[in-house]
Amino acid sequence: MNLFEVKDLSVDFKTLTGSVKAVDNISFNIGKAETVAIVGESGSGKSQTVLAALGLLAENGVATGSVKFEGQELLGLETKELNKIRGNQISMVFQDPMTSLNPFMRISSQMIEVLTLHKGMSKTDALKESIRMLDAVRLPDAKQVITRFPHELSGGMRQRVMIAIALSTEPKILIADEPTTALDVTVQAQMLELFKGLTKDFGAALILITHDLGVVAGIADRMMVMYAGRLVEKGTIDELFYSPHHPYTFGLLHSTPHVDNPEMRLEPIDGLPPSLENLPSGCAFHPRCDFKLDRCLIEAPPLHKSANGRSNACFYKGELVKRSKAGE
Amino acid sequence: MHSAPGGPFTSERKLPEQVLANIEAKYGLDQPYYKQLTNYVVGIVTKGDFGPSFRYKDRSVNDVIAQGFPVTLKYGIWSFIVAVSVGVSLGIVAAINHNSVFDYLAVGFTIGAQVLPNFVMAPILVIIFTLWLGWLPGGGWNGGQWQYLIMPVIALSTSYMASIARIMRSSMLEVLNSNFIRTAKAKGLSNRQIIFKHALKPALLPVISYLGPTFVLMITGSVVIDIYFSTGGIGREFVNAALNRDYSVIMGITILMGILTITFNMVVDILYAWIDPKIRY
Repeated sequence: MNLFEVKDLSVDFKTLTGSVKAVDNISFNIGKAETVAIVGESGSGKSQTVLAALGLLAENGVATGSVKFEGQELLGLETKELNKIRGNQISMVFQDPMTSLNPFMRISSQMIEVLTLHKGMSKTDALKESIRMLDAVRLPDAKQVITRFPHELSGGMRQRVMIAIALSTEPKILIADEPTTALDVTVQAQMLELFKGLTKDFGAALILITHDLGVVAGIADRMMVMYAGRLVEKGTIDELFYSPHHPYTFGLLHSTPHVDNPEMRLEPIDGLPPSLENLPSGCAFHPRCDFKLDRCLIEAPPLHKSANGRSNACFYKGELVKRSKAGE
Repeated sequence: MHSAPGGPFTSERKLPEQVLANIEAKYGLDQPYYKQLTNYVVGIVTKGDFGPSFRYKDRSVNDVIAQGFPVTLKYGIWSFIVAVSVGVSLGIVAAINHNSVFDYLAVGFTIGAQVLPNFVMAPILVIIFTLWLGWLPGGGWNGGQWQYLIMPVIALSTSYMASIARIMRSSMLEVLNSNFIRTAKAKGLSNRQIIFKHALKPALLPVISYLGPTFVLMITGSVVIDIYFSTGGIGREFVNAALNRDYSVIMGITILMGILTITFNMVVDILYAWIDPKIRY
């Protein structure tokens, strides 16, 4: 049994102009203490996938399919039962540390409440444990910081607080939704170190949602690439980085700078991500794809397994080469 | 005030010149305005004396206020309590059940209640509870017994309650959609904990800034309530004083309202700082 199993998950949002499919029929598994990255552009549905799993979708969102945690179905679970899992077994760190902490409450009460709720600790014990957690995320002067309000802390400090809260209940899964996007580049590196070290120390699986391939390369074991609500490719980091099979993954890699190869020209992917309200026919990526075939315009390629557990959703089977060369 | 035509002693039958001059001398109205003003201010500051009423021979302004204000204060505070408790709870419940039948009913009800002025509300209440059902006395005060309190309180509080409910609903909706509430949900907190521990304080801020001036308006009474239910509060005295050119009473009540307004705006500021740590310094 996998720790976390997502099967045929779809997320629809009802809008005034009709229904929009933000996540389209995706499936994946996550094992114990594994680090998996979900990569994609804004609006590719990567955040909605995990929000749906925790019952945190916006009011007009509907999730269908199945999300299982240790064999227990999470979709459609009563809020009361779900509350025993979220914040306890599955914790989440959000993208924007500036607005994700309650500005009206001291750090101490925001940390204590998860421990008293899920671990049944007394307030004094919870306070001690919280200070210990703030030390663990390497916040200097934890005893002082815990008495502060969020607006008195910097973005990096707040994100550390968020991580401390998320890990304080010793969850089996930590979900980090673009945890470094809102932070300075210098702080980003520290934060990634922290994620890597802490999830290892606590034995938690990490689901890392990001659009930054540099982040992924540093800490993830496996990665999944999403485009327009669909999973287009998944595999281990090495496989996807060194031999991408899907043109979109290929394009992403070539639009990311590499330190070890500074001479390499960046090749942006032409065009814009499609609007979910008005998806192109067939494969949603075809208008931006250099390798498209005729059938890509008519039918969407299914995600099919290739050797050694990799999958990708593309009809093109040939070798992917740089466009500049392909154009010659 | 003095530039308005007429004066406290003008009546249809003209008083003889000499009598008028005597009376004006007695109340100091023959003195130049700056002198009148100085005397008035000195009287208030040194003796807390707002001067005599020009209309009622044996009553001072202090008497008028001492008699009327406790009445208005009593039904005003009750109205305030009713408006705030019902308004806030209605707003919260409507926000929690956003887009449900209850929400639509609450919104419909509050719009209705808000546009229903108290001079329409008062007669409707009297018709129902006094004339049809015979449960409540149609007017009077009787020392503020509860039977005499109910209808003035309902009539005065309804539209304020509706405004509070609408402000509360929209600010609660906004707070419930904020990122930190999503964090609270992700922590596994129950709805009750989310609403009362995380959402209530921030959602109350706009309501509180509305409550400062509203509280003053309510405890300084309403002419309509005083006249309709013959409660004898200062709302009626104020209007009578204006009609009678009873300068000192008008001034007295205006100053009272001014002091209350300043006081409660300060209370609002203090409450703000208590709720929102970003305002403390």
